[in-house]
Amino acid sequence: MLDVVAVVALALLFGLAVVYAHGCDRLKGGRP
Amino acid sequence: MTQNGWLQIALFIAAVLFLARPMGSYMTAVFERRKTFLDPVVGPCERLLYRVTGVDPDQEMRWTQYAVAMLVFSAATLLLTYVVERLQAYLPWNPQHLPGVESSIALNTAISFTTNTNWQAYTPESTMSYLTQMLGLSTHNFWSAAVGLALAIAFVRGIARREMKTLGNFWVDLTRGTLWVLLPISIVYSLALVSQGVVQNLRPYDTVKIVEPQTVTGTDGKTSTVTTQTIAQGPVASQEAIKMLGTNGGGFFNANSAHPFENPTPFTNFLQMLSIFLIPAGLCITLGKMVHSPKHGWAVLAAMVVLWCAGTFTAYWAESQGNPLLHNVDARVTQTQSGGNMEGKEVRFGIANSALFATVTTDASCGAVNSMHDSFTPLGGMVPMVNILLGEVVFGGVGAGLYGMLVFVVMAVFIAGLMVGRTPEYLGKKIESFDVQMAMLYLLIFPLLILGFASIAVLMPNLGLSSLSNHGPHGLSEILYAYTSATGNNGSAFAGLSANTHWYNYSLAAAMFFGRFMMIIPMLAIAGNLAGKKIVPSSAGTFPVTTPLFTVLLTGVILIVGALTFFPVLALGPVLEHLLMRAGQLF
Repeated sequence: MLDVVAVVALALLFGLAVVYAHGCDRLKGGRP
Repeated sequence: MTQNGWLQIALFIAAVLFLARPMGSYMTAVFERRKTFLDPVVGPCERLLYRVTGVDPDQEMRWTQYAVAMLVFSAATLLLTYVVERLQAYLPWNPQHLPGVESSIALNTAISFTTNTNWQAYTPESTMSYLTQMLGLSTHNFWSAAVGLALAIAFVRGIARREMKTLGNFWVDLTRGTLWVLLPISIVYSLALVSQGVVQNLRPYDTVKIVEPQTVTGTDGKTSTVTTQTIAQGPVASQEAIKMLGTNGGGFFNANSAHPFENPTPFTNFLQMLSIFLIPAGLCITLGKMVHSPKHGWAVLAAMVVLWCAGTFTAYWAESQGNPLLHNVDARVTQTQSGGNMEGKEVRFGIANSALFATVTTDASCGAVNSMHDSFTPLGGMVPMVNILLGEVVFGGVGAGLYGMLVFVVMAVFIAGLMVGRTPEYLGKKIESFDVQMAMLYLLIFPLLILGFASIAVLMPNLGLSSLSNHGPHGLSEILYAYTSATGNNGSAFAGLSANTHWYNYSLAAAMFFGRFMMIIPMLAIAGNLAGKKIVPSSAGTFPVTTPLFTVLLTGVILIVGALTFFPVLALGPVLEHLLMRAGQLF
């Protein structure tokens, strides 16, 4: 059970990191 | 402090500076894909790898693609380590028949080694099989260092390129960093370590009869007589080499580089310290060469040396003073004893090499230790902590040190621009609001994680405080050091903190993860933005980044940012502990 939680948590964390990268990229794009 | 000690410290930094130029020139050739003497040997391996994996080495990546490739690689290798740890009982090369690693430690360790931290909440020789050490951990020592190297090169390309959208190819940088830099040096280095007595085998542990049987009392109050001792073995030399060269720091044994099988002689100790700084120092020269401003590379290296000097001198001085409350102990320096504070230090290394090692390992994001930092005097122990709190930019980790330092360079140039009322420029590139926003994000995530997690641990007695061996300001130092080490991806332990609990395993894992990836992304964003900029011709108002004035400004910015952020907590920890020690109270 803990293994499933660990794998899901890792997937979420790395997914969050990808979203964060695109967020930073969008921040630049949104600049006047 | 002794002349011999100063001589060894001087010899060490002279060797680092002597090797920086050839190392930097070599890495420039490697990452610019020019000819090197290793091409006939590793060139075919590189081409084979690209063919097998389907990588097109000429395909360039935008910074977001570079970041996603790095994240995908890190996630896949992290998962591999986790699975190997959990299943080690069913896998070969486990002569001690060790069971699978418990889930929270397995996760903590997998994140730890993936992020180049190598925080170890376990005792390696009684937890990890040989296969786990080699396939799960040693491989990460190569991969995480190669990732750092690739990221630093990507940042340097961002500075060097003009009006381009790309930073290179992550897979090519990763492969070349591993095959041309880390692997060949590690092979030669491992053999040198073996020649000095570092073990390298796959034998079961030895059991020997001890000369004088010992009567011990267990935690349950029962006494027993110990007549034998287990001596752990293993493939140590091969892991030791990349552990130091890749600024990883995770020991094969729990005692790390204090263990005689990992670091048997003063010569191996010298080699280990030298190898920590070898690549980070060389990368400064690589920076200078790739941006066509060699003097800028030397100016950045000079800032690192200045900060290294300050740390080394402070630690050496503090440890040489010893503990003033030990009235009946002869702490004088003689031909037969080191003098000073020898608690937690190896006699074969003495004060100078212990203080120097502690400074070097925390300047870089290595985290290997040859003495117990928890046993240092309050000010001596503050030095390793401050080194990490400054962002590990004093040489720093493989790649991580240089890109961290370059973020500070962006800030220094920005501040210089504010002082004279001009748009800041860095090597002809205008530093604009997006660059500064990302730099600030990079700089703020670090203290937010350290102070945030440390505050939660301090405020929750059942979670954070119950693991402490010492209370008062020393206890605060132990908690602060743990989160500093994790967030800074250093991995050294202050000790005194029983960190193998669910709270510490998960919270430190989170600190390591966010401290690595949440800082890399804004750094790559700056690099990607810089790569797309035009070069502005320099004028009389351009702030030169090749002069001693720049070195002083850069050093000042690093110290001021660090002091403004962390002085209050340092005042409550090691500074208060030092003052109370002077007043006669120990913790």
